[in-house]
Amino acid sequence: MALIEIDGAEKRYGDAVALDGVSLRVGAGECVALVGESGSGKTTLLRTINRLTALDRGRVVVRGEAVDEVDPVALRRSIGYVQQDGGLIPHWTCLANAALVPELLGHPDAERRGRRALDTAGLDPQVFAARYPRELSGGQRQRVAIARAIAADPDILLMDEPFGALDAITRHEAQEAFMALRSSARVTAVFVTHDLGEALRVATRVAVMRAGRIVIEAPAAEVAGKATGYAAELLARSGVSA
Amino acid sequence: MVVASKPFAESYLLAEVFAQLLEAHDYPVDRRPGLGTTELVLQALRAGDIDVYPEYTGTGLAAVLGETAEGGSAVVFRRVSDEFEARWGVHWLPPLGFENTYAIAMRRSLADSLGVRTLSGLAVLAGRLTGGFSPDFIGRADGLDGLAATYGIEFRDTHSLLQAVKYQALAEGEVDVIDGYSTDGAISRYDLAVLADDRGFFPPYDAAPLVGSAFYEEFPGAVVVLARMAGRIDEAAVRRANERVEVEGASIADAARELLGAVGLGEPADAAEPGRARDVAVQRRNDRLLASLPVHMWENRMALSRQVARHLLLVLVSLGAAILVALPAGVALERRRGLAESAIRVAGLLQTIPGIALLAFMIPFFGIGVAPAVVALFLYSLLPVLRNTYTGIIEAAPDAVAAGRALGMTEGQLLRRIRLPLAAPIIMAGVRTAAVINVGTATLAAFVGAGGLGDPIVAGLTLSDPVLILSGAVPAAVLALLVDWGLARAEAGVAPRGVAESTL
Repeated sequence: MALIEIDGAEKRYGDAVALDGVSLRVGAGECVALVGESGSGKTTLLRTINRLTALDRGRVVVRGEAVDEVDPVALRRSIGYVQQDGGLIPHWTCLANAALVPELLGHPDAERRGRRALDTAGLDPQVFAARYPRELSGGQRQRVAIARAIAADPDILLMDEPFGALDAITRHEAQEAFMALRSSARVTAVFVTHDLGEALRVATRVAVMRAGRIVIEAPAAEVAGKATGYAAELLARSGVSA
Repeated sequence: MVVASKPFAESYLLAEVFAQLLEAHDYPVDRRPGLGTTELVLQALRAGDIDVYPEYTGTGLAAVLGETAEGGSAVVFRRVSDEFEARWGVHWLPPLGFENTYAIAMRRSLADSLGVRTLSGLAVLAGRLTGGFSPDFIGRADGLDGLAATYGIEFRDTHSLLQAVKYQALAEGEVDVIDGYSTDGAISRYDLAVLADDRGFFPPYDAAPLVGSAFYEEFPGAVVVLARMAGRIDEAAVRRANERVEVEGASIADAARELLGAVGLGEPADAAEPGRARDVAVQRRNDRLLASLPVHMWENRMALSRQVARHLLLVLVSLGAAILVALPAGVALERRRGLAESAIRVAGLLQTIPGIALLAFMIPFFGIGVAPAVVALFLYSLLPVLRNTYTGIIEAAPDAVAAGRALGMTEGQLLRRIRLPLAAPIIMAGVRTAAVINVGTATLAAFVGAGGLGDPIVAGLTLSDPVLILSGAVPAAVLALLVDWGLARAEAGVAPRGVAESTL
């Protein structure tokens, strides 16, 4: 049984169709990239998994339970989440930010988990624990955001353009760090990107979306071979040879 | 029983006469001198917030009923008596025995050189003259408009001048013609020529106690006491008492006591020594303000501290209530942003209402005293607190709020732990704005009998006593500065660590 199952997901915002009957399965240990341009529905799809977006039709099942039948707050606390701009709480220290979810869950060792998560994300807790977000570089901030997402050891990690706001070098380092983290922590990840090249480097499987539908879904290694039409165009644009 | 007056010297004096007379017969009296305008005092009387105040029959006829006089004093008195009782159950007691009519006056030298003796004579020359009239007179049917209609008097230019500066302006030649009161001490002091009302335009202005219905029904004994003044107080006695206050600087209480003694209604007063009293008054007017102000404030420190305490009470209660309403409202509006704009616009509209007008609107609902003042100040405080709370909440790190929600923070946790701490300095800045506005606006509360530092200011304006005005205005300004300083510190104190200076 897949860890995440999405069946016939439909979502409209007024007249705009965000999801037009999307189905997707993500197995334990996979890292799935949702690729597409803005407005393709990839972020909306990601947000249905921890019920930040409620579907008009269709269903999302996580760990065998429909998400609209469980407590959304408990669901969200059990799933790591990283957003593009980091979204760190500005008047909290890095440690307080990193320890947020363990603390919400009432873990008595929340602070220790926060420190460990900072360390895992590549930030020395000795140096960074007491600092405030505005004293950090963009790359460091994004690492704190990743630390915050994994501090409670979730089995699922959702990321919305996690590397999008970073410059090229920082971005590459962050991708490397994430891949190392994923292989050591055995976390199942779904992440959104508009960059097919990034998807192919980081993900095990890629779903290309356009206008609220998945147009190609394949293991990362096979995407290039299957790409026709729009996907081939995206591929060409991201500099990956077919 | 509550004895009130309007904000001019003779009204203060007569109210004090009523109060002393009632107290002499063991009735407890609450004094509320200097209430706003005719409309406001009459409203308070009808509502039973005050029991009695001195009024003039001509004012009742022309300014309240909007009628013109037909017939003499007796006819006008009967007309207002019948009409006030029929409409509002308010009773005119028998007139005191003197008239205080409008006296259209000029410098005697100018009147003599132009050969003007009457208002008809003035009409011919008015096109070359400048008038200076109280705002009240300019707006009243029995004022400037009526003069134009009856006599065809059209001035070259007209200035709106307060009672306190009118005589000075006339004496110094800034204006040529003013509206005085026939019993004013100043008419003789400045040696003015009063023009005869040869066509009988002004109605008779007989002074009389105006009594509310509840008082009239429940305290017939007190009514009899007041009615005993009927016909006893003549023009000479009132003019003398006015002079004691306005020229010689005697206190209202002393002048009232002397007046009662002089007309045989109280203990006969020792003959005042006009020479000495005049010297003291002149001395005080000539002293440098800066020198006599601290002395005055020290001598009146008990009253002053009560006024400061009352002022703070007005500000704190209204501000506290505004925070209790506007803070949750501002937070709630974050979820209804469509509604937010209209709500903030309504609060903004409230702030554009002039202070004195807003206070007047409150009278029918809340009577006079502390309640209408607190409600008016509360309404003024809503906008700054509401607007800053809403702005602070929506601008509080929206990306951090989104991330917090995605990681399982509840709406309550987002509010308590992210939004409110980040918005706190901005909300505090709104509270600070509201508090400073309130300290200033609360001085107007004296017009509705709420007390505070407005009391000496209004009394000082009425008696043209700059020391008295400053003894209210200076503490009010100091209070505003202290409140501003204290809340600026509080604003810095609530700024969360780790965040750059707030944006407001």
